[in-house]
Amino acid sequence: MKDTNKKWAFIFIAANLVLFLVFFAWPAILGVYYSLTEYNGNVATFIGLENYINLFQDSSFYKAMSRTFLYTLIGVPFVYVTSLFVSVMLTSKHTKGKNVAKVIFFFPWLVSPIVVGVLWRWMFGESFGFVNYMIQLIGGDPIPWSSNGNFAFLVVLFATAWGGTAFNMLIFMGALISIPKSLYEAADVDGGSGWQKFLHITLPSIRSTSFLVILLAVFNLMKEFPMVQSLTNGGPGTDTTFIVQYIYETGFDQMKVGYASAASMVLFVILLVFSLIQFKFAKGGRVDE
Amino acid sequence: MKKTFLLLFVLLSTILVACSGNNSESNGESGSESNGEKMQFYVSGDTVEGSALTKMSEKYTEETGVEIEVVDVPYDDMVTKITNMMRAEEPPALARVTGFNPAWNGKLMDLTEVAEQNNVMVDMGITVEDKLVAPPLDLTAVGMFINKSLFEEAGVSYPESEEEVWTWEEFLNSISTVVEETDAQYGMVMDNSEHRLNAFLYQHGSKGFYPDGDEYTTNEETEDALQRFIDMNDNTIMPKAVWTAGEDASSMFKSGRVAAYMSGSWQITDFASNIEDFEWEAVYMPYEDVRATNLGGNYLVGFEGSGQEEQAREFIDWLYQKENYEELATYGGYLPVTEDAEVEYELAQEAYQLYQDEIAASDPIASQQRNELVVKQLISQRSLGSSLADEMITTLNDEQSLDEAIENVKVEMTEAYID
Repeated sequence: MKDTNKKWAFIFIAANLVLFLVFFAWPAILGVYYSLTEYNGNVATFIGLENYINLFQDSSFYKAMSRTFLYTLIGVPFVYVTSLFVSVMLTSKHTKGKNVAKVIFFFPWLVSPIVVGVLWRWMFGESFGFVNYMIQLIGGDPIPWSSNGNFAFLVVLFATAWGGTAFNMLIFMGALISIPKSLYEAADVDGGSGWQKFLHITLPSIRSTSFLVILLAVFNLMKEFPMVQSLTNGGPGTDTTFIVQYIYETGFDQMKVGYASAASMVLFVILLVFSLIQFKFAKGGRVDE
Repeated sequence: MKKTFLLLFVLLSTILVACSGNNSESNGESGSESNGEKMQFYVSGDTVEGSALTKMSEKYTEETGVEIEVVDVPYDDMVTKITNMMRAEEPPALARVTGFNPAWNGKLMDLTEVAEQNNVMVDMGITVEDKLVAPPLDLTAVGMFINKSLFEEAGVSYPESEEEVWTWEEFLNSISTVVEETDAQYGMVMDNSEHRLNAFLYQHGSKGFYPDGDEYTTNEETEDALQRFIDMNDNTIMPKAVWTAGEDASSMFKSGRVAAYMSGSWQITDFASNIEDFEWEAVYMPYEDVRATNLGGNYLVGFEGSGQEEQAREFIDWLYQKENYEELATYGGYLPVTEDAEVEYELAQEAYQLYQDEIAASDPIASQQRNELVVKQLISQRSLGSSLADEMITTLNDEQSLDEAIENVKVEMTEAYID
């Protein structure tokens, strides 16, 4: 009986397995091989670990990497707080116009990240952007949104939160609605304030959801590319160039495919470490209630 | 149990492989079918340039009955796309390109005869081992545009004949006055492009980056000119965001609040039909040591192994014939590359004339550098993108010093073209 189940299980995943091997495992192995070669797109020459040795001495690689970490470190809490705040507001019984608000907050999820970038670029364009135009109308000095590295970084963070809220909001709202009402009623009886209820009932009840949201956000932000590409193109200079864009530029603009493969292997290892940590905490995918 | 699984896996993979095999076979068939009928012409261009070639292809079909399919490919994908087609041994018959890949070397048709018969300016094409493998199709040149309305409002004059050409000093003074006297936001903008920056460098007496012994080097004038360029990016003369953060220079100029725009001849058709809010004019570029522009433009190539080499050659021959070429240049707004062509442009005829003067007065470096670099894309193992522009972007953002930037460019070019 048990064996029959296993057989059927394999049969059901077979198609996926083949696709996985052909379109994921095989290219990944090729990537490992390319990372050990000097490859310009035409001829690959085996050079051993030279790419890795050069990579770990390359200051632009470290800059892209540290920018990515900084972006993740600030961006993830930011995304988490905004989506949770929006979800709490949208599930609160005191809020008016929830349906309209849901549609508005969900809208960014419907457009491609590239469009998100273009929209924000249009709003925060330095010379003729909408925001600077408004600032000048009320008599202020225009802000160097794109030529100052810190402002550009800030704009990227805002755009990330704007684009990422929709999906997380859906997950949070599901979790918030399923918190038993009796807990809040009991707190009301004991005279708990709104803030106390949030801290002692809401947050603990959505712990596993929070965990999921944070992990997904970490992965998404570590791999951010299309939105930033169209928003700042990594600029000014390389101030918002994150690791995936760095890999793209070395691989396709400078045609150093081997070198870029080595960089992606490093990214792969970092993401793998994050997944293992997640696996450990989530106990191998079992959701703990 | 394990056996069943293994069997199933083998079965599935076989099906998958078989399917993909079938696909490539049928692709091959449809490829050879189209080889028999239509000739594929790969082109990337905006509506103006793309439609110019489409119109000419249609005319050719009317005259000869040979059908040509003009395939529009995004500019950035062209080289990769064709390289992949060549790897699959199914190259298109023809393409209009600006860049090359080492994989194409030895697989381009020798068009020396066709070009000579039709008075094509052969020295503007790419010659490898005495074979003209890529004749020029059209010519572009870097040039300066001004917002005439702003200049008039400020009462500032600009050179209207070649005798009055301004120096960079005079030019910078003029645009500063325009910014002071009008509501212009910036004095000038320059496209974020190495091609435009090189013209600026040549005008200051730079010889660009060139091989000297076993490494690449440059002359002193380059550093001085680059320093001036950095000083100009002060958010008053030039907006820093165009170079450091990739803001669109062209749309800034079109907004009417920028006094001058250093770009090139390819903008003329667009400006003539789309700028309505103010008057613009193409003017002579300023100089410091010498007058110089920087030439660019497209090449026409035919591929060996397309199975349609003869038809392609006939079409190229037809396209370069005086009457046909003049028609093409009129549609596309091209500067001609055949010696006897007389083109009557529909819009802004005088702007084109000015560009012809600019090219004639230019230091020879303007064409030499371009052809040398493009030939390198074809014959060296690795091609370099825009090394100087990339290094200048980080320099402008204070990430490194100018000396470091120049040193990096030398090293990168040496690595790519000499080692």
